[in-house]
Amino acid sequence: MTDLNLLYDAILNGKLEQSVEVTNQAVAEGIEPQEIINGYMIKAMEEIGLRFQNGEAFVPNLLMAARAMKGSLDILRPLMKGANSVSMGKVVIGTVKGDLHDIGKNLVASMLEGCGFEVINLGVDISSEKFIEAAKEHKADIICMSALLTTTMNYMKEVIDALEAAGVRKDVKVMIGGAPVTDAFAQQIGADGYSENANGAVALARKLVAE
Amino acid sequence: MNSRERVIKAINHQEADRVPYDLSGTTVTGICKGAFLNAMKERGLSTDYEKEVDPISQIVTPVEETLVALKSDTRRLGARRVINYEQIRTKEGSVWSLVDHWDCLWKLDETKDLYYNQFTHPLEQYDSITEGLKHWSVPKWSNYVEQMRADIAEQAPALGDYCGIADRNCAGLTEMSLRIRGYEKWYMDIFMDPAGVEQLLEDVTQHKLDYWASLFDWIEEQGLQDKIQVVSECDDLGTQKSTLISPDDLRKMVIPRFKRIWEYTKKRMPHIKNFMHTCGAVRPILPDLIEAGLDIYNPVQFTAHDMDLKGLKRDFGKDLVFWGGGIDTQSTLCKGTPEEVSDEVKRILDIMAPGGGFVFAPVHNVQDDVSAANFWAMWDTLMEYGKY
Repeated sequence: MTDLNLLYDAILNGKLEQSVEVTNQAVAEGIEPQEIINGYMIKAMEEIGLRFQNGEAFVPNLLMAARAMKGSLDILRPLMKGANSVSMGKVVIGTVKGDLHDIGKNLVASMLEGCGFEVINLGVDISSEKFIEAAKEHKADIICMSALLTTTMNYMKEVIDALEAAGVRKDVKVMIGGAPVTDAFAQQIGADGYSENANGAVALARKLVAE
Repeated sequence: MNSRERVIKAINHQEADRVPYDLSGTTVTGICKGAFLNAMKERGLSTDYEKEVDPISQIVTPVEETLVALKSDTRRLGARRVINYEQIRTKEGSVWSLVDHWDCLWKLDETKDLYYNQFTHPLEQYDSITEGLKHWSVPKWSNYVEQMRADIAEQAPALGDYCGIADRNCAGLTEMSLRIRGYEKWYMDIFMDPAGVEQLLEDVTQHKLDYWASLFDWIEEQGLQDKIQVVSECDDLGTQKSTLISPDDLRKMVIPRFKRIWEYTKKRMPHIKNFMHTCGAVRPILPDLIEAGLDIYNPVQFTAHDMDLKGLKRDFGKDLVFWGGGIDTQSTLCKGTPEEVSDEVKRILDIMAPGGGFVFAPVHNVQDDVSAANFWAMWDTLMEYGKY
């Protein structure tokens, strides 16, 4: 019988090979993907996120954990086709137009994915049209926008205004983040929430989809 | 009291006649082109600027008459960050492109970008740094010494009675590693290819030591040692919340290499002070940097975690000169009102000025979204309330 605590350890310590090996064993033994994800993978990602938030883990640790988590998820995802219950919600995420910085955004994307969200990562330099198109196409619950620069963060308001103009603002929650972004700025531009770190972003996303 | 005397007092933890002001003395205490043009026009000062030292971040060095009018107490001496910028850049439509001497491709689209963005990393296609270094190597600084000598010969006359800053030729040890390898890959290489990480850091360290040797050789040949007070290095080691990689990894891989650089600079020029820029929440490693030979810390990003100015001045003010931290550049300077800018400068001067050990500069370069009114609110307040 596979000890799934080894999967938890593998993800927490960023060990891809171990994560893949344990996942394969668990699948071979007929353990439900949902049980593996909820019982171990999400918990490991929550723990690494918490350590990151508390300054006990750093960017390399988070990237390695995400890598191990994705290795496991790649095995499980094909086995879950059609099971709607697996997704906590759909998130479209991107760095806004004019801004090419993506590490922070990718960490948020990985944390959301690792914690059970379906994530559509649009990349960097994303226009309002692209955000809206992707949100419509994937019937997203949340749009996450990131900006590193004081000079590009204002574009977030343009995206929100464009969502209003397109008549879809009410269908989707908007979360924002990035170094110069603040809670006050989020309120000022009419976003639904702001998080200063990847762990907080997961908590916020859970709250927003529950509303 | 001239500018050099003023800064010498400050960096020796004494009060001068006023708090010294640094504009354009380094590539992290400068001003971006658009903000510069707006601010100078407003008060009828010359909008001319020198050859761009760091075109990647689009900062400009005002011409001498403007620096004099702005009462900047510093002058920069050092290689241009992009060598032969005017010759190597090309334009297609609205997009400027250049491949720098590190084989990194940068692009700036005039219609939307305020900075050059990096598009390629010379080691990104390899499985590991170790593998990549078999095919690519850090550029030899000796290939660029002649160009540097021509450039600094143009800069040197401005040293005059100002605090001369011998400034770095490239980004920091981890920053250069990230640019060469690609960001996410390098961070993961710390676990997956630690030997490669160390080798690349070592190669960049050697490149930097070669640069400093060539710069000090020229300074000695010209007999300009007394005109240089500060040697400026950098890295970006922190986020808003913590260090980017763990303090232990920094202590093991990065700080000892800075120690070697700082020992070398002090050996060649014993009277200088070692300056380092690193953004972010880096309080846990400040004692290590001091131990390694750091004298002057910039930019003092006081909005980052555990970086409040009172605490830093209290705990490190005896050992470190704070150069920067004069006003927040992520919020107040670009988004505040002139009154808010003025209030923040006053508040910070009250904390940082007593006893010296403080040179005024904003937390980072004045960015393009800073209005002329806010630039002048900062400057006027400094000149009025910065007097001892």
